[in-house]
Amino acid sequence: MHLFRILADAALVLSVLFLPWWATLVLVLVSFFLFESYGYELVAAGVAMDLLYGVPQVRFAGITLVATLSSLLLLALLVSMRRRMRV
Amino acid sequence: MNYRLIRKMTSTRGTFTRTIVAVLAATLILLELFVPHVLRNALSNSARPLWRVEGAISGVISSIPTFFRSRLSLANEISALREELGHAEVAIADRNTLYEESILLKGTFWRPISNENGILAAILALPPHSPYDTLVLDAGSTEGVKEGALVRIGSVVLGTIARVDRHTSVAELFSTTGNTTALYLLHNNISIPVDAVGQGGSSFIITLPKEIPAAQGDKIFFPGIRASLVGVVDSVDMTLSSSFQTIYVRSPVSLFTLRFVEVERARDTP
Repeated sequence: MHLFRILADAALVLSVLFLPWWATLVLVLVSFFLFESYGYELVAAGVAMDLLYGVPQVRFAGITLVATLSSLLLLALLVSMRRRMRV
Repeated sequence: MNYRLIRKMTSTRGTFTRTIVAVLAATLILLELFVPHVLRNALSNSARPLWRVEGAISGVISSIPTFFRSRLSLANEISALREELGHAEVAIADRNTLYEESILLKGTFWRPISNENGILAAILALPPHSPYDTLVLDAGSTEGVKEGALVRIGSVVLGTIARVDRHTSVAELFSTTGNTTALYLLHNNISIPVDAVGQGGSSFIITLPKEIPAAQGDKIFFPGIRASLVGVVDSVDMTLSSSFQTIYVRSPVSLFTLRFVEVERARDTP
């Protein structure tokens, strides 16, 4: 399982660098339900996107941490959803 | 009974995870707010070799003899080349006019325009990799790139440098969704100031009163002494009920075929 997790993390790094942002989103969603405590990678992907590509833009009211904040919000939603699914 | 115990264990672990993530996120946000270049430089420098490898691999793949490629990829390449040719024809169409205008302006204002070339920068990443619709360029402050400098391909302007790191920089496109840029529309040698609103995908929308003349093929320029084409009017939409017309503009350059851009040096920036 550890090997799969490492492979999934490598795929996540490559998707942040080379694939469209929505491909990263799909990968994160799938991985979140496959692996335990995947929140670290999810937030790290958001931070990496902001640091690599982010600039203050009018459409985001000048906020440069849009992907980070979105990933935190997504994490909260996914954790809540997973908890409900297990009951 | 078991149900409650499992719930309790999961909840404790979840709280621990959430706390760790929150602390990490808070640290990163604080670092980003107070010392923004430290993290960005570190990550950009780490990612740059990977982007270069990807560029090299793309180059090798594109040089594979056509014999070994599938019919589908060849058909795609033909359509991409046709599109590129169309854009090139549009870009060439106004070249002579721009050249004459440039000579006239230089003579009129006695203002020499720098003959130095801009900074050539390779594109490391472009939309849709970037959720921000930005270009990551392989040139930064060390190479002389300054914030606000124009990014262009020949006479076509794409955007400006929004962020500069040590060896990389990030360019924001004029066509990014929601960006409003003050430009001017050239119709029958009459310049009309307009505000172009980016729509993403190298396209813009301009809204003007119906009385102002505009037609398909009109050019949109960036104000400045150097010829700077931003786009060409693709279509003009007007309805009987509205007193405004909507002008759809597209850039003559297809972003997805680009590998290099020119970043103007600071003193050339208008």
